[in-house]
Amino acid sequence: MTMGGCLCGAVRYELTGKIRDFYHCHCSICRKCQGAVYLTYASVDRSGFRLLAGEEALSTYKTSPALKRRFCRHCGCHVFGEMGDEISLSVGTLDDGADPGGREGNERHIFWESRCGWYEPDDAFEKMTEFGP
Amino acid sequence: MKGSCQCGAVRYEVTGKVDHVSHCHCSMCRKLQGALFVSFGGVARDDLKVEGRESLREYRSSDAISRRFCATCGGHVFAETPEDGDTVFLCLGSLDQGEAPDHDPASERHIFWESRARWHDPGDGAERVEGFGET
Repeated sequence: MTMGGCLCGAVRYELTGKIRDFYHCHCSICRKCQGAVYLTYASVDRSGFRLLAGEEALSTYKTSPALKRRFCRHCGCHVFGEMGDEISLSVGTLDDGADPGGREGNERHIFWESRCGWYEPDDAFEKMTEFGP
Repeated sequence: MKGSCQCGAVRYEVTGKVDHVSHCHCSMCRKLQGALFVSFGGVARDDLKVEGRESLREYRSSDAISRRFCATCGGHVFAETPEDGDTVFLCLGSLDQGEAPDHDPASERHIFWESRARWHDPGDGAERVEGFGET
């Protein structure tokens, strides 16, 4: 079973469903919410994601009308985003650096045009403008 | 160099140089910021001016380090020692417009490489070291 949570442990979740999408986002909103140079997300249907603990610890920050970013108010960890029926999981929150799966055929860099000019990952994955075609 | 959290409640300006840049792959950074690694720039406390401190929350990830984030948007802006040590570690993703930190690129290192998510390698040319590396 794939599990994860925030650093302080107030928020814990279990991943039961199949990963639908997987990407590294370079947009300025993600960077300024989480403070890293790019953020890696895996998306799963809401039915494939179960919050085990911490609903009361989760704050909500909306960066668009449709996207609710949920972070732990104790340690500040952005654990996941909610958009309609989709959960986009911050992959760094998986226990023990686990691979959530779903990378094959999906893994790519999005909002590449917004990346930090001084730092670029140098891998073989496709680099796309905004979400890509 | 200027930066902020996403909502802008916390803003900062750095007047001096960045002493070193560390891309940290430890499990604490991953679980605190949700990224596969987190890039920090060390700056002198005297060179950092912060506005909106009242919005900052503290999380002590160890006795030695306080992580600072915005209560409203959860934006991580920097880490510091609880004793107000001389160096503050900026979360470099919080710089405005993805601005380059004023640093020597040769000072960039991937630290705690042994703790990384094994399936991801950013592939750049910076040195990889165990822990903080040799000093």
